Amino acid sequence: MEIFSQMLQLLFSGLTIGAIYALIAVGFVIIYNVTGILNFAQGEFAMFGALISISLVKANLPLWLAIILSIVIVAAIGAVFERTAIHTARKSSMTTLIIITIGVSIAFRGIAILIWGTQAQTLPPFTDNTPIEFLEAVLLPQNLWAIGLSIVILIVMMYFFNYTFTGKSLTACVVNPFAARLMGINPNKMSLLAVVVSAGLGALAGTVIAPISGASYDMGMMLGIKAFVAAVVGGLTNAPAAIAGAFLIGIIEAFTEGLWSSGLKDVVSFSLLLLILFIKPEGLFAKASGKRV
Amino acid sequence: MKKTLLSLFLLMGVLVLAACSSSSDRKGDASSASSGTDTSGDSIKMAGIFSASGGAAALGEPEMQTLKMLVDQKNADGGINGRKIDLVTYDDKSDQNEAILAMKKALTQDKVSIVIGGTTSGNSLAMLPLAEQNQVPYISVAASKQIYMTEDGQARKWVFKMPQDDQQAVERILQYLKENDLTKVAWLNVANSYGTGAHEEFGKHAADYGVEPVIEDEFEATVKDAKPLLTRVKKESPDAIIVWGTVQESAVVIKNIRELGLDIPVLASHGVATDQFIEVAGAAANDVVLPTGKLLVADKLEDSNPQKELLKAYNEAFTAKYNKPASTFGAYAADAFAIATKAIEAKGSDSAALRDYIEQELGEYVGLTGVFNINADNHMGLSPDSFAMVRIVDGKWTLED
Repeated sequence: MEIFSQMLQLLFSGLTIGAIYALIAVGFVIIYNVTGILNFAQGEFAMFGALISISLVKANLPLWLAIILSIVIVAAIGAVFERTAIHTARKSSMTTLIIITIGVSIAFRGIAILIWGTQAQTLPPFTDNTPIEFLEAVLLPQNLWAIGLSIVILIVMMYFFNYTFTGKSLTACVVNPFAARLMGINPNKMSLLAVVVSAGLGALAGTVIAPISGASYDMGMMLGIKAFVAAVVGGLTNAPAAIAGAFLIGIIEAFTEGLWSSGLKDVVSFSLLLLILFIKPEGLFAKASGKRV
Repeated sequence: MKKTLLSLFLLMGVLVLAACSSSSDRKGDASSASSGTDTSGDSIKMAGIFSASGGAAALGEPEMQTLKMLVDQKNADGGINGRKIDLVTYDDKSDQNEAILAMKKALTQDKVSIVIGGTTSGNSLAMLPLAEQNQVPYISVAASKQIYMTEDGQARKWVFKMPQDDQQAVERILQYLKENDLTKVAWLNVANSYGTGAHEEFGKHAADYGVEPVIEDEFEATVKDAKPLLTRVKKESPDAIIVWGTVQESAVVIKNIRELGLDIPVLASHGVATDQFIEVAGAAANDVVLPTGKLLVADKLEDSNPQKELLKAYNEAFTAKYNKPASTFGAYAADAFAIATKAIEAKGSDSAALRDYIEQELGEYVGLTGVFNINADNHMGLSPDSFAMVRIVDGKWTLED
């Protein structure tokens, strides 16, 4: 029984962390899908989301409004970032663009230090955070929020990419940008849309995790890297698969930490990344297709 | 030209008047200063190099502010033996290269008699070789033991250090565990030099205090959820749990301890001894016990404690000037300045004489951080008792013991 409740506890922790990774990983996938760029500033969107919502709450705004506003503000930051950094350099090679995103992520961290300083801050939980006992394991309402939100996003994304015109247009830009343009789809607009949506998702992830682990200017980097691993594990082109990959990484990390050693959890998740890149570079959940990542 | 000279002279007159009104017996010195137009030759040059911005700003800013405040006060009171302190300050922006450059400038261009600073251990270690080469006494405000001691345990000739060693905080915790009969202990530290250094000390001394670690592990500084790790801790059912880290990661781990319903005493490091920890950890911070300088609990010290009045006076002066509570880090700078002042009072501005005074003649000195007993073998001079054990109760610091 004790073993069972311990396993359950680890599963809860894994799902929570996985949910956070998932929200950011989806952002990776959307941008990659549309522009072919790996956006390494993705984790910084989460950082901005968390810190902006904290500032808004401190300015006495209700929590829900602060969260919505911070998502909007971060989406706007994403738009500026896309127009200034990516759009202007869109003719450059992919490597250049990726390096640009790394540069932007460093700049974002610098801006965050200037605005919020280096100290850790925290956001109140979305709802009353009394732990729920479940078969001797505990689950916090905030964890449920994290898991619930990413499941909702999973469903929305599936619907968006498969059943809406805009979603299909986004996919079309990736499959064949030239043909997409012939069909009257504007890849420039799509690129802007993709960055805005993923910035918003990143901000949401940030506000979800801030009550759990606090927020500081450097929180984005590790989140971004882990989410990237999740996206690659799931297959970079498929949003639902990336979410599944994120939960997988979260659970594997939790179990490594819980049953083995916390020092090894990064080793395990990064080894998994390498293994996938060697053996199944199209991702664990990719359908067989001619397109390679 | 004549006009500037005149205004300079007038300024000097005002200064002399100020000096006269504060203390009449220094009149002679003060008026002699006004006879020359160049006062810098007669003032005492002191450098303050702190990380007032950048990653270590939370520590360095109050240090810089404290030193500036104290120098202003001292000068307003007529200086040391009538000689004004000419303070040059540098912000090393939490960067080691900047720190070295600042040190070089202070020693070769400003030609200061004594240097105070080095907010982080890294910066202090980077700066001290220059002080040794130039034979200028340097008082560090960072924690590492290596700052005042070489690898083979020799004292560094020109370097002194104000804060306690991290190791002493570990010993203080072990003392506490022994006093409270908590023998089976879980040790968790953050996976960086702050955590591993303390872990080493813990391993060395735990047995001396009859403390038996039932589980020892690490968590990263970016930890988001430590519950997996804590499920393992829970299985070992320890009497107490030590969480050794700085604010953010300790807050996460301690929150998780509460969430899992682990109902055992939680001890934390002196690295979380700031109000910010209480803010970030919220209710989970309650009942955490940790070692810290006595500043946080100055009001609760016994009246017989010689540090009490000093601490209260410093806290009041700092709060009045900067409109925020004083921090332990600022107190390090205050102690450094007080010791430097005593040395200058006795010896003037000669660097070598200042060094010798601090090492050999200062004797027992009651400072904000503790009671210093600096001698030729120990250029830090504090004992583990200089840490008080405090408990957080309803978001307030209270004295344990």
